[in-house]
Parts: sequence; C-alpha cells; structure tokens
Amino acid sequence: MTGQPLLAVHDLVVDLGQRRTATRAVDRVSLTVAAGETVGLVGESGSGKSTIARAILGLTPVTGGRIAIDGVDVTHAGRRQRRALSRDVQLVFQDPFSSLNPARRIGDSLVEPLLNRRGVDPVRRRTLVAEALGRVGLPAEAVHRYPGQFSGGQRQRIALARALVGTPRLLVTDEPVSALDLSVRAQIINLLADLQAELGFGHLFIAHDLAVVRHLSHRMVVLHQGRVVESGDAEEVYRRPVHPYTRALLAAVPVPDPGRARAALAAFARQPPQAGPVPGRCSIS
Amino acid sequence: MSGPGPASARLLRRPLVLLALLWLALVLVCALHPELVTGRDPVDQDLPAALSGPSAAHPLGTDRLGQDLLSRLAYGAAGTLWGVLVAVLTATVVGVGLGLLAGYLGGLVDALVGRLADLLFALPAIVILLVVVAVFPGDVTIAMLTFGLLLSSGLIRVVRAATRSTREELFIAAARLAGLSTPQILRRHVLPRLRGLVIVQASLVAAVALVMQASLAFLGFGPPPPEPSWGGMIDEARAVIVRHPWALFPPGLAVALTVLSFVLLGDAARDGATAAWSATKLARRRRRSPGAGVARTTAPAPAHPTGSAPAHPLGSAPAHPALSTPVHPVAPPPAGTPRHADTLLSVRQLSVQLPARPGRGARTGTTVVSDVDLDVGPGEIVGLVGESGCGKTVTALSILGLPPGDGRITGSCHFAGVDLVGATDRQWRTVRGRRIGYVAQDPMVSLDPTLRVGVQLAEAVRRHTGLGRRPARARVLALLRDVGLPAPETAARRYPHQLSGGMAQRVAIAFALAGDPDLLIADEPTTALDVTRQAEILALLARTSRDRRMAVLLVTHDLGVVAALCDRAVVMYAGQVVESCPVTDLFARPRHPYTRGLLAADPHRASRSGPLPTISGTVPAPGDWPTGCRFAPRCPLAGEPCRRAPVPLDRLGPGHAVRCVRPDEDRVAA
Repeated sequence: MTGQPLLAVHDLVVDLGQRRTATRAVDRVSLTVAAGETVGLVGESGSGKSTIARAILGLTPVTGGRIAIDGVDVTHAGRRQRRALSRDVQLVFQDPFSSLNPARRIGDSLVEPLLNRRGVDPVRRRTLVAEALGRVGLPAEAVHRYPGQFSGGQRQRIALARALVGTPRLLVTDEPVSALDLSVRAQIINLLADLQAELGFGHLFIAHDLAVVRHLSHRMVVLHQGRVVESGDAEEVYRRPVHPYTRALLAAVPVPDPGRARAALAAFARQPPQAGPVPGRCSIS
Repeated sequence: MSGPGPASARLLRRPLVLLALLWLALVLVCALHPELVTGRDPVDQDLPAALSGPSAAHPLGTDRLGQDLLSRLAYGAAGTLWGVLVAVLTATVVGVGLGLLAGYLGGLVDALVGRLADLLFALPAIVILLVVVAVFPGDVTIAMLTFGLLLSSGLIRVVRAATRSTREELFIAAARLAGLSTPQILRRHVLPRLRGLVIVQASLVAAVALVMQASLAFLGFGPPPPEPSWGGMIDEARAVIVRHPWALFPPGLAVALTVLSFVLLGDAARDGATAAWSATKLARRRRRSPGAGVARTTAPAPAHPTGSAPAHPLGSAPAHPALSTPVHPVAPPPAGTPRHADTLLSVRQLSVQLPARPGRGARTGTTVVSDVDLDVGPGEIVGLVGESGCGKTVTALSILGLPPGDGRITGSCHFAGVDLVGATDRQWRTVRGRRIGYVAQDPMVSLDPTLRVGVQLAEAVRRHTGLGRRPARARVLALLRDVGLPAPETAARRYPHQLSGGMAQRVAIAFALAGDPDLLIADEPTTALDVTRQAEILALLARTSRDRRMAVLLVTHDLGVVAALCDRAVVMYAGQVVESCPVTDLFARPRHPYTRGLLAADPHRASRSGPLPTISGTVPAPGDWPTGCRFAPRCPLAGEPCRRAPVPLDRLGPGHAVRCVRPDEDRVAA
C-alpha cells in the first residue's frame, strides 16, 4: 500500500442500452479498494452493483469517469491491455452452474488463467492448479472431472480456485454466496476470509445481504439506483445507518429472531419505505 | 445416461446402432477392397443369366446385360462413399467456419455471412448441379463439392445461432477474464459445445448427399455406363421394372440402408460425444417439470369422515372437523402450542418415490421424501424449512397431488376430513384452487403471458365461485386491492410482462386467493425478490392470513422469513422431518444439531469477529442417504447409536418433536 489504492473508481458513469433509449445504470460512483482490504458493495437489483463490477473488468463499456488499477488508467483498456490485466484482476460470478463450461474438465478450466503467461511451463501449471484446488479444499484429482459432478458449493470453490490460480491482486466477487444453500454459504464466506488472510488480495465483494457483507467486509458502500447513498466502516454502517435508504434496507431484512422480525415486519407494514427515487443526491457519501 | 462403463461401450449395446455400424463397415470394406466381398468382375457379362433373380452364381441376381448385381453394388460403393465424403467435408468446413465467425464476431461479418447463407439457400440446388455436371461431365468430385457448398447454408445458420447463444454464457466471459484470446476461446469453449450439433448435421448432409448422388446418376449424369454406380443401377432397374422388378431391390435397399445408418450413427455419436457431461443437465431439466397430468398409482380410498391416522408423535390422532364449523382464532405463537385439536391439514407418513428410469442409470425408484408428518391448524402459518434437495417442495406439491416426475405418493394427507392421497379427480376439483391455493416461487410461470391479468383472474374467480361476469369483475378488483396493488383497474388491464417482480407476485397471490381457500401453500414466494419487496409480500401474507383466517404452509430456506411470519416450523433434512416446533422454540431452544448448525451459521446471529460456525460437508443427494441418522456424517455429536438404525421422530415437549438420538446434549462449540 503505497499511497494509491489498488483499485480507484472515480465518478464512474455507465449507460446501458442503445443511445436513444439508454438508461443510466451507474451514476457518478466513486470507491476505492486497498490491498488486503474487503469492500462490500450493497444494493438491491437494479442498483447498478453488478454493472460496476462488469465495468471494472471491461465487460461493459464505460460512459464516463475513471477506473484505475494500481494507478494505471484502465477505463478504456483495449484487448491487449485487458489480457495483461487478467493477471491482476479476477472475477467470481454468482452462478456457479453457468460460469464453468459443462463440457470441459475442471483442470482445463482452471489452467486457463495461466495459459498466456510467460515462463509458466505445463509442469508448473499443473502444480499451480493442484495448489489452487488444495487451497479451496478440493482434492487434486478433481481436475479430471466435469463440473456436473460437483454440487453448487463445490463449484463455487472451483470458480474461486480458477480466479486465484494466477494469484491476482484484486478479486471481484459478484454475489458469490447468494445462490448457495445455507449450510454451504458459511463455508464459502469463511473460505473467502481465509484466502484473503493468506494471499492478501484486495476484494470487492458485491452482495445484497447486509449481514453477509458486514461479516466479511472492512468497509461498506451502499448503492441505490446507481448512486452511492452511504459508505463507511462496515460495522458502523450496519449498526448506525445514517441514510434513510440504508435504514429501510436494514429494516427489511428478516432477522432470525421472532421477536425482532415480527416487530420489524409490523413496523414495515405500517410505514413502508419510499419506493420511488431517493430525493436529491445525498451529501452523506 | 449416467450408467456405468465408457460411453462408446454403452452405445454399442444399442442394437440399432450396432447394426448401422456393421452395415457402414461392410460398405467401407466394399469401397476399399471390393474383391474381398465378391470374386466377380462388375463388368463381366453373363448373358445367358441376364435378368435373373438371386441364385448361387449370382447371390443378388443380374441386370439386363447379365452383370452380377452384388459385384456392381460392391464396386460402386467406392464412388458413392467418396462423393458423400466430399460433400460432408465441404459442408462442414464451410458451414462451421463461417457460422463460427459470424456468430462469435457479429457485426459486419455476421451480416455478410448471413447474406451469403441466404444466397446459397435461395439457389435451386438441382439446377446448379445440372449445370455443373454439364460442364464437368461424369466428375463426381466437383458435383459433390458444389452440392456440399449449397448444403453448407443450413449448417452456417445452425452453427451461428448456437455460437451466439454460447457466446452469452458466463463461462465465455470467465475465459475472457482469464486472458484467453479469441481463437483460444473458440477452440476451447465454443467448438466443444458445437460438437454434438455438427455431428448430427453432418450425418444429415451425408444422407442427403447420398440420395442426391444417386439421383444424379439416375438422371444419367453419373459415371459412364459400364462403370458401376448405385444410382446408375437404379436407372437400369427402372428400364426393366415391369419385366424384372427384383433388380430395383439391391441398389434401392443399399441406398436406403446407408442413409438410415448415417442418421442413426449421427445421433449415437452425438450422444457419445456429450455423454460425459450432459447427465447433470438432463437431471436439472427433469427437476423443473412438475407434471400436470400425474399418474397416481395409489388406489383411490374412500374418504373417511373420522380421522384414523396412525399414532404419531405430534399429538393424538387428529379429528377432522368439517370446515363449516367456526374457526378458532389463532393466537400469535404461544410458547408450547397446544395439541392441534382442530387440525386443518394433517399429513402422516407421507413418502414420495420417483419411478425408476431404465436406461438412465437408476434401476429402482428413488425416494425423495420419506415419512413426513406435518400438521397445519386453521389460520396457522407453518414454515417448511430446509435446504435445496431436502424434499420440501416435493412435499408441498405432493399435498396438492402433483408430485414432480410421476412420483408415487404413499401415506395419508387429511385435509378437512378428506384423505387427499387417493382423492378422485372430482374431489380434487373442489379442493385445488378452492380450498387450497398455491403460490409458486416464480410468479411469471403461473400467469398466462397472452392474457390480461384481469381476464385471467376473472376466469379463476368464476370457476371457483360460480359468480356471473359482472360480480366476478368486481371481485377481481377487490382481490387486487386486497393484495395491495394501488390502482386495481390499471393493474387488471396489464399483461403479466408489464408487471414488476413484486407486483407479479402480488397478482399470483390474488390468483391463489380467488377461490377463498382455507389453506395457502406458498413455495419460496419471496426468494426471487429484493429484500424490501420481500418484506412487503411477507407483510401481505401475514395480513391476509389474519384477516381471512387462512392457514399458510410456507416453504422457505430463509430462517429470517420463518421468524418474521410463521407460528410453527417444520425443519426438513434429506427427505425427513428432523425437527418440528413452535417458532419461538426453534430460535430459543433448537434441539436437532442440524437446526442448531443452521442457526449458528447465519451471519445475522454470528459474532462479527472470527469465522462463521459451519456445518461440514454437503447435503447428500436422494439415494445416497445413510441408513442411520441421515445427518450423522455431518454431525459433531454423532456416535455409534446414530449410525446403526434409522432414528424415529421423538416427541420432547408440547408440540416439539425431534429426530435425534441425543437431543439434550449441547453441541460442542463448532
């Protein structure tokens, strides 16, 4: 950490759709992620959180603003620069079923981030893949099997191994646990925390579940309709939310405690939070 | 398709495939070494035996010139196969190459290739071929090259479409992020996905090319006469069809059998190429189709008016009051719910077995739900909790008599005095929709996309209540207002696709309420929604249940939802009920290690520092359930008695039942 953060997003604007009918999915969003830090990006569907991830990774063209990784501007990186960037930045998708090619063996998928690396010969590749599998708690012989032979949680481990096999410095995860079962979800959350402690990567963690984000993140950024409405220390935002939208979001999450959940639901039924756009732009962020 | 043994070996066990393979092998031998099949020269004329049927000297008979038909067939195979090979190679190389480029690159390339494919498609193949054979008389290679090119238009389109859809897959994005170049992605990810498709298309091209080649020879554009060819033989047979119809059979059958073999083998090769990984895809698709027309194998039993369910741990045998009796107001969940003297729904020993799928690996049926006991009182909200694959959705659908995949239901399911297991179609008509409403996870699947919401709802209202057109319309608006849609008139005029997710779920709930049911079965009604929308729907369900005194069986995986809404909870694991108790007990005094583990793993309840407590391992699939306690392999407390024999559901206290050998021991800190 030498002054500049690992990831710096400044005033990012992304419009989706054709020119005439374009909608502003991300509106002047700024955030940073330092090495070894986890930043949680929270919001409901349509808040633009996945679009931000796609913009950072170059899967969606950027309308305005600046994205810098390690101080290098990658906002409009070309194909070649992107391929070089794949060494430093990796993504884990929400859906562990469609993010792995069902027709290819695990080993073939895991080796891909290493294929275009100079100085990594096939023997070294095999070692790295086996190491990555071991790190996520899977046996090395998994390389010979197909994704269809694994459960959702195991596949998410495989996806994580693929993202980490080339030891990137920034990991972006887009709802990595929301498609998983309860008892498996906690395993993956712990795994993410352990891997970060071991490898020290910066982590942009995108989720809609505030409790999960609070557990895993150092800082939290709350999005609403493409804008940042609140950001700060994760525990602080969770315990003492300032923006009315954050409060509404927190109040809406059913807590596994009958007394509190019922009271919250009753309060919610009496006075649902405003569904419309947040009036004006908040100065809180 | 997940049986034992390598894919190729399994395919050979299909008799038709084996026959096709043998036939093509024979044709290939003829093409390479015809002298192995017959000792005769194909142009040798045995004039005295002209136009004879099969005999010892000529096994397949002779033609007009006394030439041996078997020999001509054998020697003609080479030219025939060569032509087919040329056509298939041309069509595949051009079709796959251009289709791949057009589909993956899109834009201008796509437009140009598209026009080219249109052009090839529009050209009348037979006219072009006649021109070609007129310019290059007797040249099979050029004719088939041209024909292959013409046939490639179909392949271009199919490959392009498949490539386009594959390109949108997440794993392509993942490969790009891994730093792979476009050629690498095409070779590693797109081509393997196209393999099955291309094999099938190529086999069709082969079949069409064979017929076209025979047709050309039949029209006199084949190899010059003394040289044997299958089409030419058909032409010669045609000339003598009245005097000697037999001559048509050998070449005709050869063409027909070869065409059939190509197609059969193409299908088989496709299955073989994808067998290694397609099994799961099939399984996933299968899971998603709860059959509407369900074959029920249980004998229809007469509805018994007095409950005679077997003794069970949840209370005494329930009575089944007629529903017209006044319903007791249900207090908010008291600690230690009294015995359900007035049970609305009483499920006992409900098991669901999916039928065996011969040829798909499963020889015996798979039990997906075993011995589920479940009670729902009038106006009570019961949560059916569990992870995916634990059988909660199958249980809910089986109560409605709609188990997925032709499942067989056993046990009993008393609803308001009628055993629904074995109910007749007539009884079901008075129950489904009228007495029991159903809300699915995805509201869009329960709404007809072609009809306005109001029209659909009115139809449901009229069917269930027998109201006239006008009162039904008023009732529709009342229903839509009830479910919290601010402008019912506007909503009624909308089509389902014009509704947001939350609105669509409200409409789906209005649907379920159309018959004014006593019980609503809601299967993950809020899982697809955002948290704020979820809170609205939960509030709606709570209010509706209270106002209408309607019982709700809520299927969910979310303990927060259970806490917010339910009076009692039934926790399922691996097809069984493992714990059943009032909701306050569930959170304050959970007794089953699985329930405790789930609660501990919830980040809402965990302390922020340190790792989350986890349950090791994963949920076992149906069929892999252990004989003893099904949770034992993952349980920190499991000992020898747990693994020995199935564990019964024991009653611990009032309304609290647990399936555990040692429910009183505290879980060791995980």
